[in-house]
Amino acid sequence: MIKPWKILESKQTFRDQYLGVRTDKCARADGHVVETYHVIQQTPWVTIVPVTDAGNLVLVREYRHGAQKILTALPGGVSDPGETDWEAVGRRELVEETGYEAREMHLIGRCYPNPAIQDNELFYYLALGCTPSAKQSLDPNEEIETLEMPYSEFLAYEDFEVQHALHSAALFYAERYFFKHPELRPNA
Amino acid sequence: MIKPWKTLGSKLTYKDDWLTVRSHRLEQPNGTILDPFHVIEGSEWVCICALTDDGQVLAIREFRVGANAVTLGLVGGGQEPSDSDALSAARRELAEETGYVADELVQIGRAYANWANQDNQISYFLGFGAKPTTQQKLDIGEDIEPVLVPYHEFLAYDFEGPKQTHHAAALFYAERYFKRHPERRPK
Repeated sequence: MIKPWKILESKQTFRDQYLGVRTDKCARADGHVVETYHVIQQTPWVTIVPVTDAGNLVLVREYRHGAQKILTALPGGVSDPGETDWEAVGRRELVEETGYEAREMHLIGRCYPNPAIQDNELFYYLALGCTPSAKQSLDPNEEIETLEMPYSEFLAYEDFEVQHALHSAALFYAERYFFKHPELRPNA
Repeated sequence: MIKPWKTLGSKLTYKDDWLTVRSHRLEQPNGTILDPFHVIEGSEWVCICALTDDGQVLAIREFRVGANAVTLGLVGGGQEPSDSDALSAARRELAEETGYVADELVQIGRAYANWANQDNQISYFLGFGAKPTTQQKLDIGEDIEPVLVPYHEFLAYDFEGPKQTHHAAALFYAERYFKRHPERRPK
């Protein structure tokens, strides 16, 4: 029977404006001590699956420096410290990154991007009835193009040249949701 | 038209046995300088959805420090210098974490773990014919219990406790694979 570990000591190994690393010393239930265990500290993330009434997804193209490539992606972002209204974060990121607004938002999944070494959760929203209704308002570091793509085309994500695991998971949750609510499935 | 950013300089901000952070000085096409932009470096990761001949997923229960909870999930790990490729890493992780060996491992997908600020990718595998044939061989800090769960139950992915993105992604790739190979779908 697996039991939680006890945190014996915890220290801030690294911290600046962008990244926090906490290092714990932990004891297992059997007494074994794990001397060094790093946890990357992040605020919760929100990813949106935005669908238009015509059945297209609203996607963004931007340069992602981890991959050093220009990539096609679902919109989303990071919550500010203290924020807990994930739907509001999702609506804000959608309009800021794409200029589209949603008629309705459905929470379709939540999971840890990496519960081994990272402490935040990711919330997935299906945004229905998306229409372009505002101007993009990007952060200084963001440079984003918007495009529409039929849902069925993006669903064949395993054929994309470069893929993002967090988006494969978004499509998993979207498909689960459409399986339970077939009337909401995009018809494009 | 979106253009790549230019890397003006890089330095190693943090490195030990477990974690490497490299910080870049970047210039965007409009001249904006981003400094520091942290990238967490890592080796290839693997995630394995191994199935037994009677259609059960070989899941594992373990304590995850990031989530501060005992979680139910899939087998996974990182490629080590001794692994010739992702497939051999997957075979090794499966045996070490569960004591099971699969007759066949099929790669079903590959994706960036997080392309915004991590440089590594994760390879997803389906395992067929998994059988308990060896002893678990756990790393220091690992404490893992294998659990068999019927595939359709794991696929519903609505059990208690924290879920993990890479396991949801593995199920996405598994379902796409079974759509193309319906004869291999667990009954």
